[in-house]
Amino acid sequence: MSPALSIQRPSFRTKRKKKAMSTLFYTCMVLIPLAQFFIFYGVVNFNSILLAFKSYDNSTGVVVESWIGWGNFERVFQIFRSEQTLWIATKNSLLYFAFNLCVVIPLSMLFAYYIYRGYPAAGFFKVMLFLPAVICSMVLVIFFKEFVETAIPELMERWFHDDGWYAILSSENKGPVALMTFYVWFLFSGSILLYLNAMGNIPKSLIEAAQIDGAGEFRTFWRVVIPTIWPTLVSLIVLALADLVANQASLFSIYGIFAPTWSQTLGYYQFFLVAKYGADSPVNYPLASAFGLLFTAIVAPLTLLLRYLLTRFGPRED
Amino acid sequence: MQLLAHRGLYRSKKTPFSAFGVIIGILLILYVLGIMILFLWSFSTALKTTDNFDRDPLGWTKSWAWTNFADVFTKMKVQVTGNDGKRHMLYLDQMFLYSLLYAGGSALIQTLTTATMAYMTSTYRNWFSRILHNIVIVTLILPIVGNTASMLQVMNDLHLYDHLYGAYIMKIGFNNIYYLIFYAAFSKIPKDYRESARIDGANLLQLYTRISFPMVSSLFWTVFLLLFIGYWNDYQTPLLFLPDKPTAALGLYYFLQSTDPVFANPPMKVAAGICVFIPIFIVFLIFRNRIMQDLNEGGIKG
Repeated sequence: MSPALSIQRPSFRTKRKKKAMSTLFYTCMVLIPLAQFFIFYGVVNFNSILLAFKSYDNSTGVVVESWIGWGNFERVFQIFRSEQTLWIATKNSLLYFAFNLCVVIPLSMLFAYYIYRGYPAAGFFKVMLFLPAVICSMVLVIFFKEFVETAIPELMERWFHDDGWYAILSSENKGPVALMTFYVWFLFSGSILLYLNAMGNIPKSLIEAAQIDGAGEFRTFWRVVIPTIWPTLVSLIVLALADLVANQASLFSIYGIFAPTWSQTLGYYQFFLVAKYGADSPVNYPLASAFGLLFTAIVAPLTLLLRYLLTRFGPRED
Repeated sequence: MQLLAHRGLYRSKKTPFSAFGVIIGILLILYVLGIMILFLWSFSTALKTTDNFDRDPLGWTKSWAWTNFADVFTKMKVQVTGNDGKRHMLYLDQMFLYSLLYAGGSALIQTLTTATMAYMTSTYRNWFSRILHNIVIVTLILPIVGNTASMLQVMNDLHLYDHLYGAYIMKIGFNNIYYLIFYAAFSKIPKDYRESARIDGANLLQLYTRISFPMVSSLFWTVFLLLFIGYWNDYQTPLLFLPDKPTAALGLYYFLQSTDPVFANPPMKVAAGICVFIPIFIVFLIFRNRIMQDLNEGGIKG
């Protein structure tokens, strides 16, 4: 008998035992994360839907829960009709989205391209661009807030004899520019590494071939780099849209629960509703949930549509 | 050249430094100058006495008040309710401890769960794994907003509110972007490695811990570091879910909102900011190459 023929095939029983062990191992490994997902995603979001149809009253000192049907959604529309706050918040959220789309994303790509091409001091710029991403937003807010509130007014008074620059972050005229500057200034960090990762996958022969064909740097960037990193770009644009109603633009860090109406965004407004009383009182929970549900219903399909359109009609590598 | 290209730094010898590159370079210099001015001003301010700052908020410090940093440790405090139900003060050193427990524990648990789930779905390619994989993709694409209130209620109902273990359980989730990176990394490991180890007598757990996991350990620690930095800097989760276990970032939030004249002066506030910033800055300096490396590149070792 040859040695090959002497190898025993596993019996049906052994195979079944192995499969059972494998199933048991698989179950044990995925059970806890799955249970966590079921509770912290499934139950939480289901409860959020239920909350949107409830009301809490603690005017007597005892929290009383009741079902009020569409009452919270009516309240949202009523706030839209009767108060300026939500219109201003919507306008501001759209403005931040536009800045993200038109300033932050293009500049991040250009900066990443500079680093990718290894131009002078690329390594230094990479560290400096990434640095704000590792610093606590509260630290950046403190540095920026104190600088804008104390150093800038002093500077304007000394150099231009203009004493109208005090309390910039409370001013409806100058405040929005300061807030937008902070937002744009410290938003590059997060996406730079993603663009660099995507650019790192571009075959160097592709860049060289384009340049042998006479393409300049801008043309190489436009015609070779952008189509190649398009999937990453689509993801970041879609994320920016998805963030439209959740973006707080650091307002809570800067103002706490006292952000002026002119500065508020939809993300801030929602977070404010919950953070104002925290776990102490659930009175604002239903309204916050109704807001969340309503805006999810608007933004989720828009996000999927944008993703489809950008993928379908965007540039292709070939 | 190939190495540079892999590190995201690739420059062709044939390409001269173009006008396009110069324009981006100028924009980068302006950006970096802005950051450096802000940081230098903040450092100088943190070393000023209140008098020195009031006289000259712009100039370089003349007082070198290092005591501001010591004052932060004695004056930055948060009133919390202890396990005994009594109110007491918590100082910055204790807040650092909570930061370490919250950020370290959460990052470790989340990285471990995410890596494990990615291993299971990439190795055991059955119908359930496909469902799990699709769950992650759908939850990543589909934005759901405004469920914080519900989360607070669920945490309260499960008696997880205001407990560090509650925060850890919150972070066991695997539906995050790192799952996809781990999934790609585990998928790249040749099946033969596991099969050889199996023949040599390794059990199913050992196939994961001894064979596959060591091959993605570099990626594991990179993800851990990124999550650690994120949680160290996060103050909103502790604000809502751990009010009596304030981290240093949350302490800073309370400090900034304070109207107490002891704190309401810029040198003290900026010094407090620097105190919270320094530990994570050191971590960044030590591990900057690992943190900024290509996550795809860092996937497979050997």
